[in-house]
Amino acid sequence: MLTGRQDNDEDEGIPLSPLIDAVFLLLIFFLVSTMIRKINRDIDIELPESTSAERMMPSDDNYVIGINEDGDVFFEGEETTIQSLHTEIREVGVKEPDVQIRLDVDRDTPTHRVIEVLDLCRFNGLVNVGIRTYDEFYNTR
Amino acid sequence: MNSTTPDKRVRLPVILAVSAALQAALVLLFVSIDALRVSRLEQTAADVRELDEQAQQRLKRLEERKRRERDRTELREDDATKLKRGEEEKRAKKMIERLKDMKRVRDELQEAERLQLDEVKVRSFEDVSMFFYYQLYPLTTQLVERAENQDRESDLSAAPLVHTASTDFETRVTAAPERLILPSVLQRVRDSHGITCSRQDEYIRQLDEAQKAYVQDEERVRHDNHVAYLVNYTRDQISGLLREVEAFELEEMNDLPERYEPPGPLEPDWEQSLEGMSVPELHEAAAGLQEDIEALFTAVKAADIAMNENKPLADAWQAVSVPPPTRQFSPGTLPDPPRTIAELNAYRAGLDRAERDVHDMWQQAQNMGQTGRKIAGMKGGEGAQGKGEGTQGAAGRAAVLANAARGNLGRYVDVSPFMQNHTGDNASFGAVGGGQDITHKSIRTGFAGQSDEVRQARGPSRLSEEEVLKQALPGRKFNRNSPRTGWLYIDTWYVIGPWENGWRTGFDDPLPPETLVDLDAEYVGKNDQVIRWQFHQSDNIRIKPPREMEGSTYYGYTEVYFEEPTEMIVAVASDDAAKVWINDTVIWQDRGFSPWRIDEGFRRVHFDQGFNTILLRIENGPVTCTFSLLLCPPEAG
Repeated sequence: MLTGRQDNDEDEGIPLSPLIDAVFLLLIFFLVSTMIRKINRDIDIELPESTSAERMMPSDDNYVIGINEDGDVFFEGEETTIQSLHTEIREVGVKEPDVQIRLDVDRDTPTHRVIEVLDLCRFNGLVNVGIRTYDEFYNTR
Repeated sequence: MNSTTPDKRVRLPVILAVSAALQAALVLLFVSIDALRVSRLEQTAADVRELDEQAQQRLKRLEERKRRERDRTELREDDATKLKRGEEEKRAKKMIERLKDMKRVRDELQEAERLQLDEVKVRSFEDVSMFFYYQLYPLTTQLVERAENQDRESDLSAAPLVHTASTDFETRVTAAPERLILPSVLQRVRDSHGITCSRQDEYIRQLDEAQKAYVQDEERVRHDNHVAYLVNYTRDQISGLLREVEAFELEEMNDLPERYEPPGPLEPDWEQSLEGMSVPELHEAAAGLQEDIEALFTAVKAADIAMNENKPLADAWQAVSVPPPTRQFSPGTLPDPPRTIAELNAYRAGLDRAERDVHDMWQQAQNMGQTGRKIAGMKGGEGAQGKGEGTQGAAGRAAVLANAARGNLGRYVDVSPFMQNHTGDNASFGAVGGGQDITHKSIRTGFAGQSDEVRQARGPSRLSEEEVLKQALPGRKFNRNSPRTGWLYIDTWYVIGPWENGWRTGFDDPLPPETLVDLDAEYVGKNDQVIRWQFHQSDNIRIKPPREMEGSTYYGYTEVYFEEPTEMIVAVASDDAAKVWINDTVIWQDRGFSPWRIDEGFRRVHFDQGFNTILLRIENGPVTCTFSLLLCPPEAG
């Protein structure tokens, strides 16, 4: 009495096709997930250098305010006006008072503009404010 | 075997020796030749810089060539359509949200406009004349008191001026007494006029005798000049007011400007129709909404000025000036459809400009909505409540407040009840000083009595400049449990100016910041200079505006935060004249040239919970310009 199993004895072995499928799927998943572009919130500025700055892990759980050398202001990477910045910061202060604010300031930015933004954050209850400095691991000149 | 053994013995030392020699040679070579040990650049720093620059330029040229080649790449029609649609969709979603927000502001301002214009429409003859009465009373009192002083103390300084002023006044008031309702004042004027008339010959004789002494006595000349200035100033004010009293026609006071057409209602499916719009269409829709919002806001603001400053509505309309939003986007410049990569990039940049424009219009709409709501006494998001005081209340409130702000009711005035009402916290405006209700009737019939009540309100009258300068701390955020008590000064301002004021220290020509504070706006100021708001933080109580010039007007703007509704005493000091608005209510007006004095006057004011706005206008006459604003809890003052 012959069974189907006996008939297929020659084909026995590790089925590689599903394994390859799974490996390829995993590969594609990682490729796609790592290639999803994060919103670029950095602006084209020359950061100041500091020897005493504390190194922190890059994080997306913060808001980025940028000020370029001409004193133009950016919020989350997009150019904005002072009036709009007031509105944005007020909203953030009400909704997320403990959130971190990262200040990206060009080394040639007028000081009064930096003080103005720092004062605006403080007035709206945002005290967790850090100033980003040049870091050779994350920045390229 | 025997023949090979000696050979092996010989070979091993030889190999070892040769290898040692080679190693030694290598070491020697390594030690003696620097190039093997040290990596060294033969070029100088300047050479390296030059090479670097050349490399950078080559790189730039290469990139530029690549970019040009890429830009010339033609797009297939279906690709271009797909890319164009993708770019539009990305921006349209955000723009639609902004437009919906703007529509909400438009709806609120429509309600605010209705409330405000209704108030003006029913402004009565009595309301208007009562306002004039309130302005005239303290001025005439000053003039009469000066005339009486002359008689009592034989102070002859400026006697002829007082005489002329009182003659002028007497003639005009007698001509139109029914418009002024001030019989007691009229009687006093007539009495004092009689005094000055009866003693004219005496004055002139004494003045002739005193002529020589005047020349010799510089102090006296200065004093007389000062008195003459004050009398002239008062007389001019009175004359101006009397001219207005004689001229006003109620219909003209309350009529809407002919060209004003209130924006009509939007289509019911307006919001749905946005979904299918392209970016240029959305931009156009936003521009339309912005125009409507501006028109409505102008109406709200004009009605407020008309009521609070007793002006004809059309004149108040002229005084409102909303800074035009800067438009960067022009639909005609969009390459549609984009055929090359360069055109696609230009298309993207055009859409970015459109998005930025809509953002700016939205921002300005928010600003106008916030201010309009405050003026109309509406709370954001809670619908229209109105001031709830009726027209008579509004007119009375405006009249009393105008006098309180001008300091006509005393150096210390409690204006907090008006401010609470202004923001819709109370249903009716209430008490000043001793807690007596101010009604329309009481205002008309008993100004003197009412002002006495106000004067009796308890508060500081003098401040030691030295003590305050020593102890006052900067502050803009306040809570009940704050360890800081005593006087606090506002150290952070946005300041703008100068505007030409022609050496006038009145506030009759409102400038754009009085309509709307837009921190990004630019204006043409004195000597055709472009002026913009500048951040100013000081460690000194006295604030000096930038580009300090004589004969100029400046504005200061700031915000303060209170954790709960709070009453505070405000001390304003300025060199020279100043006018202060808190939450769009005028609480202080100090006309004329005067030096900075820390205790020029005090107002008890009300601050809402949350953020409160302070706007200050300062008029500089000669030389220096400075101002200060101090706050103190009433119990600590």
